[in-house]
Amino acid sequence: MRHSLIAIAAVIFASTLGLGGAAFAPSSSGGDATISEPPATTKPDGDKKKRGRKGRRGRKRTDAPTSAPTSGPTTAPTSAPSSQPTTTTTSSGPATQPTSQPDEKKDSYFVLTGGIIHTVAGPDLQDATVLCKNGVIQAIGRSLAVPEDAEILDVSGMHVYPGLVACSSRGIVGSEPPENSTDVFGTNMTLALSGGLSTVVTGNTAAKTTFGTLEGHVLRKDLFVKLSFATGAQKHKVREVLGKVRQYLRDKAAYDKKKADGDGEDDEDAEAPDEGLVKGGNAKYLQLIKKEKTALIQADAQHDLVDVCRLAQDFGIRIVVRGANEGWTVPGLLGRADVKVIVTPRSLPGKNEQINRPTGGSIENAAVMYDHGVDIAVTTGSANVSLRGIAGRDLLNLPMEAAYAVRGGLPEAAAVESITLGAARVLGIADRVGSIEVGKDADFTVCDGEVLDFFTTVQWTIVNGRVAYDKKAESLFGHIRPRTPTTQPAPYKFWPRPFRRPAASE
Amino acid sequence: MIVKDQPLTRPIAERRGRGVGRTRPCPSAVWVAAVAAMAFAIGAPQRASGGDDGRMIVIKAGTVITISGDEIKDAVIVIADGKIDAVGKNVSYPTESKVIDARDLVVMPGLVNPYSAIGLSSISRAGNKSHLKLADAYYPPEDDTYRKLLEAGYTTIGLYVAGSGLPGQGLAVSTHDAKPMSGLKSEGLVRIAFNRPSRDKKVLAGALKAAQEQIDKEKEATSKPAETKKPTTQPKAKDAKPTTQPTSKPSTAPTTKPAGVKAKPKSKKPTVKPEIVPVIALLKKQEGFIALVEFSRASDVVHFEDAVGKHEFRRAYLFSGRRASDVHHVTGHKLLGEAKALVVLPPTLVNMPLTANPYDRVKAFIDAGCEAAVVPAGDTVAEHERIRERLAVLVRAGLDRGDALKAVTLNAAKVLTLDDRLGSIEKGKQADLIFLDGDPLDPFAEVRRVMVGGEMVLDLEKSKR
Repeated sequence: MRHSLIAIAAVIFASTLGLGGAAFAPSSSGGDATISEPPATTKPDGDKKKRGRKGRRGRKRTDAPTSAPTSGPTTAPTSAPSSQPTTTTTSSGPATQPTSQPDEKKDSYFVLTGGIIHTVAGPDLQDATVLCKNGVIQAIGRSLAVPEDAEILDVSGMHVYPGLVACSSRGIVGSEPPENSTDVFGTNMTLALSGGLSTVVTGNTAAKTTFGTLEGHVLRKDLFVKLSFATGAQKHKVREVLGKVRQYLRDKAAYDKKKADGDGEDDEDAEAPDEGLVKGGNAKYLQLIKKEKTALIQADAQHDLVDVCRLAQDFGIRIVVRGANEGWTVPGLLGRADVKVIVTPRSLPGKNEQINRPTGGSIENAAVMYDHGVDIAVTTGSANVSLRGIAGRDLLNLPMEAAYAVRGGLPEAAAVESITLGAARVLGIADRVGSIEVGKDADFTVCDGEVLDFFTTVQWTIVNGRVAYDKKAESLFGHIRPRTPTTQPAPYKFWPRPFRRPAASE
Repeated sequence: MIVKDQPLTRPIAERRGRGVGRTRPCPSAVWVAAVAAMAFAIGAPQRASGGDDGRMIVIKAGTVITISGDEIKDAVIVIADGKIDAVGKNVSYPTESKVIDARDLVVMPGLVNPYSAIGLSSISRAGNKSHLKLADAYYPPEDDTYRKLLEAGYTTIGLYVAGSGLPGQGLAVSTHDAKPMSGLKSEGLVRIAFNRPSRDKKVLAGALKAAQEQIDKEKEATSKPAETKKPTTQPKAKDAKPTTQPTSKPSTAPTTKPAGVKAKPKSKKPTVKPEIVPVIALLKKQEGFIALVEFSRASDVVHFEDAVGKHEFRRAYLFSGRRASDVHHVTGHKLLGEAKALVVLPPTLVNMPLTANPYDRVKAFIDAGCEAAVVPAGDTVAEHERIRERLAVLVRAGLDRGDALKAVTLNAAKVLTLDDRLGSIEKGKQADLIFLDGDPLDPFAEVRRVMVGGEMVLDLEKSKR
């Protein structure tokens, strides 16, 4: 919050000096539509408020070219914690040109031009350019000055999304620790990239699908504290330990206060709370109470969800629920308890006829929870990538899972968010990935249509500013609706492919 | 079978009881005396075959494939003292030389298998056991395995113990007389199994780190021998602490901290862990030390680069197993093609992943700038016998014929650091030769004679056909 305000102040200052506020190059001054700074009128709010303003029905598309800086996206990541000093500095104008450090490695630049940029964090931008430096987005806008040695990818007419985020995965990157086991040339990684995934979770680690390299592979470790919270005994145990840890903290605070006051005589009577309470297996509960970590709980049934919400409210801990099939029956409770959910919209268990209340899955599950302000991430029914099995329910088809939620009433923009920024937020990695904003990782999924369209295929996947997947170059899907030159209009739907025999006369 | 009282690295000529007489115009009396003295000193029995009578051996060959140079028709190879003395079309030699008529045969260097476990008991080690030498527990197979390898044309094999991590040092033996002290190599062939990074990365990185620390420690000890005593004499006195730290600082700034910490155990005589010693030798680039790094797929190369970091040591890379079909991703890798590395591959065509398009890995690596050595497609006698056939398939698929032959001789010897002694027909090399009754890549050609160290160890009168 504080950083964002500083950034805004810096931009206002820069613009009054007539510097144009170009993020990268000072040459693009004057009336150029450099939109890499946050608009001065927008105050970065919490995520909830922002969404409310955006509206629920459909997405807003700025079809008119964005000519004024005020219509640009907020560049300072709204969800970025204060641990991102570079964000504010890069967007604060030419005053902070990249200082020439004793560089062992030359800076690498990557540029995407001509695409329709779905920033997710803000409005969509027609025909904008994204400039990335060393795997981080440095500027978004038009008429950006591009360094000479930059790698330029012309994606005219294509739709550019942030790299998709998979909340759980199997077999794409290695098992824990992925930096020691990932097959960086593996077929599964290529398949995942062909599905547009740039960030996947394996075990308790978020890793990037960095094809061919381990550089920047691991995004974040120890994402969650996983709690077993299904049976009565387990619930009892979790509550008991949390209670003890909380009591320990209270006792400790009281004890410390007493010591600090320094009455002298009473100190002998006072007994320091037993530190053993928060060591060993209980250490993770301490992290939960201190809100250093988020708990991950598998829960689907209504009564389980209710218990989870009570847990969150009673102890003030952050919880992510995986599953939440019956979340639509208690959406308000989930929203009030600020419990985030990872849902699979196509997971539709049958209802229990013996219970006189709504049970089972619902096509509207995601939409109803979204309406009640629950943070939603969408993931597929099976966590692997596969060319076999039940068609379309693996991670190759993550957008289809989100699209199914749209069928149930979720706004399209929210559905896209649920597999990008929303998922990143649920995983606690939204400061790095999930949207196209200055300061975030240069992960893009370039599609030949809107990502939620069943017809769309991923043409390129860019991870950390490197092209990790090119549909045309791979043997997987290159032959399906082959890519046409960007100068021609994209061919409209011609599936199935025409399979013509030459006429007899020919 | 191990004869402990003999030194492991004795020159081969010495051991065979054929000794001196290096130059042609050697006075006969001198060398007779010398040989007698040598035989007396060693007590080794003299062999009846070969050039033990001191005469030079002259091979008149139909074709000589020298590997290091051109193929020569109707050439003469002169062998003195078990070593090749001269090769060429018009080479003069003493009239009293022993002449071997091979005018209907093709002569080439004996084949070398750089990586095998054939005939070894199924020992498997895990972790860093690099100090264990196979030579110390080597029992040659008692069946005719080696004889069959010899008949297939293999005169030298490099043997390694199976396992993960750094399972030990290998051994290079002659298939003719399989003894660890056959003078080839019993030390320095450090195997690094890196075919499962999740398991092996930690082992390798740990070994390298420990070795580097030891090297740094030694360096520090030699750079300031006088000051090392100070911290040991007054470690307990609290006041001494500020004085000891500044004394250690000016010498080398970045390494002061570990030195300050480790000064205390130094008083207890620091011992170097034995398994670190070969790794230190590798990092110091000691003569004769080479690592053979085994990968199973392309991804392992990236993990290896990550684990090794900036450490440099002499190494060859081996891609084994069926999964190594995606190596086209890494032929030009920083460690491979760019570094002109030595790569060991099986001679089989594999399909590009997800396709039915076969490609030749050996050619791919050579095109990327690597040197390629070839191991049999499997560690069986049958695959050794099939090696020339396999190579012919690769040559048909586009591999250069010279590269193919070099891969099983000179480059394979390089993996064992024996390329100064084996692998080609040129002056000074050991006379390990095979005589074929046709072109080596002709599937109907057979190995008819084998010479090891100037001694004819196999001589088939008739074709087996």
